Amino acid sequence: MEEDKFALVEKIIKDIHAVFSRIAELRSFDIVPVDTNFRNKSPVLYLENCLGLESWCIKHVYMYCYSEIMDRYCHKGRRKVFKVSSVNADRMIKLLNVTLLLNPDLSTLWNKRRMLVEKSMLDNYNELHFTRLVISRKPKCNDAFAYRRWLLDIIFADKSLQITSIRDIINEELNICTQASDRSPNNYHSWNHRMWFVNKLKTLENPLFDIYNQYIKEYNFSEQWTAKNVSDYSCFHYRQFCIRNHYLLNEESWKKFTTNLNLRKVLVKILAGNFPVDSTIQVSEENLLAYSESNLVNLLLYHTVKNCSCVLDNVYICRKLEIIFHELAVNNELIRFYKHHETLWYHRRFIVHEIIEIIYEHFCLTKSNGVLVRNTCKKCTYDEERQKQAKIVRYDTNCMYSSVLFNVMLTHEKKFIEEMRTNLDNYADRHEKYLKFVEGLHHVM
Amino acid sequence: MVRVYALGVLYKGVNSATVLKAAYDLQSFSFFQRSSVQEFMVFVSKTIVERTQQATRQSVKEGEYMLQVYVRADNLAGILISDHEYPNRVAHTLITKILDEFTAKVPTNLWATGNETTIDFPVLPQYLAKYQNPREADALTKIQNDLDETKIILHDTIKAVLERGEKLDDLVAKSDSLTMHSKAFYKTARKTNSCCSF
Repeated sequence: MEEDKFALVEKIIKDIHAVFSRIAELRSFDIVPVDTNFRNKSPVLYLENCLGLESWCIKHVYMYCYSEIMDRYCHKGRRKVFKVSSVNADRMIKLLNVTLLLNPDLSTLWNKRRMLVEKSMLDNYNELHFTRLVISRKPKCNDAFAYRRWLLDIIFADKSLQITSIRDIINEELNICTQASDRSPNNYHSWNHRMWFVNKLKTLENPLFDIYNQYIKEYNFSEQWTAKNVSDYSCFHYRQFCIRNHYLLNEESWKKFTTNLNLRKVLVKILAGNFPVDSTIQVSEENLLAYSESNLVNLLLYHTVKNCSCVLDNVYICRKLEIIFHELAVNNELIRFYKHHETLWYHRRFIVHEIIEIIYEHFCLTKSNGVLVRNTCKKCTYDEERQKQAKIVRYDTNCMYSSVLFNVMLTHEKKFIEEMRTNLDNYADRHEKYLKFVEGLHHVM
Repeated sequence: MVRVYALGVLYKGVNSATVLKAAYDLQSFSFFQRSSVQEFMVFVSKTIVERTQQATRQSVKEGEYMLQVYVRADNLAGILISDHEYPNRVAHTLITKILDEFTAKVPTNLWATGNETTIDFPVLPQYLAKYQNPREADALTKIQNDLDETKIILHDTIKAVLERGEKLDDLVAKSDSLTMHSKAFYKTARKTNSCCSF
């Protein structure tokens, strides 16, 4: 009886191995629930590039493979360390494949694979295909993502990598992340992996590869994704990562990005709707649209007490504002449409925080331990100015609180909180508290 | 995730409900689960329609899924299966719109005897694709903001809809329309969902 079972398991391992010869085409793996083996057929299913295994055999196959691997290849304390040779590597790979497919949360076995890759007994690209298969069943498998990162590090270390294969890798990697995020909501692992991957791309030295273009793609992708996954906090975190990358766009790619959409209009619309009343300037949307970047920033943050000679880049600040106010407008819409979603309000905190950071930076202030202090310029330092710190801070802070941008933001937030409060959204009160006590605006609100 | 999985038009007969036309989007399920998932959606739709009074709207939440149903006074029923983030109002407006169109297109005498092959109403897949984004449907919602003389009844689990003494497990076990395969699938899904999932 036992012998029969082993023969059967060996047969199953062989069948799976046969399917693995086409690993590049395999799209997904899954366990198909079937209670008993009543048809006397192989439990290995292979249909439309998907591999399936009937559930009745899982227990036997897993126990068999796992114990053989552990006994023969991973036994600690044995005096003679087991040596991998090409003869037994084959057997080991077969067993590893099956065991990891069934239970991918075994770091020991992933390390065995790493060892085999280092001895070039496994191919890097085939390994990528294998992990894709694992992730298709367990989209939150951290070990598989970590293994992919390890493999990609090796692949990208090769400086002779062609631009076409780089593009293929990028497509594949982003696709896998998208799928994993789709399969399981709030998938920290897939979004984290995506973030790692974009950061990895920044270090690529291929002159044909345009990282800015990638930023734009990811920015647009994340905007669509967040609009459809309003309570997936992991994707909002990725969105924030994209926004910060977007600040770094160069002149050329910024032009390309803004050809189809007018971010300035969004910014100006919010500005015109919330302009402080006592202002002496004539404000209408048309008026504001005519301003140049530099003039607009001067209007919004009219006063600055720079105590060093560093030149402020108004174009850059204006661009940052456009990006962040666009985000604010999108967030308004989402909160109005999908009511009572905490994640959206948390994202709003991020947006408001970014705006306040921009203002602080402009007025050379930083917040430390909840108190505003004078920021020392990193590039040049004036010692004499530093001594008068305390007084200057109070003066600067007042300037900042009376700046147009600050007031616009505050009015806009107050209006929005009021509107949502009438919609019975409890998060509105919490947002107000956040502004007052975390951002420390209680004496101006 | 805001997503619509299925859209269907059913007829509520005296004893049982029949599916007149339906469209599914099962891309997010793994390949080997799709047929079972679809069978289940049909099964659940029928069960719910049979247990919904005429001229009522119900929204039933079950786990991460949301099932919206509207049975009209003339026994024509519409069903929309989505995840729980899809706004109820949009879903019900969409159902109303589809039922109206269905009435205009398919003569009433075919309803009681029709089934998925005999009824000609090919627009469901289009709607399914279009309203994956509920904000597209928003324009529609605004027009029909006064949608309701009929209120939407909300239920937190499917249990609340079943009649007294009925259990979903028993219904599944008794059902002829589900294959062995799907029943096994239901059992495993039950088991895996019963403990915490991460």
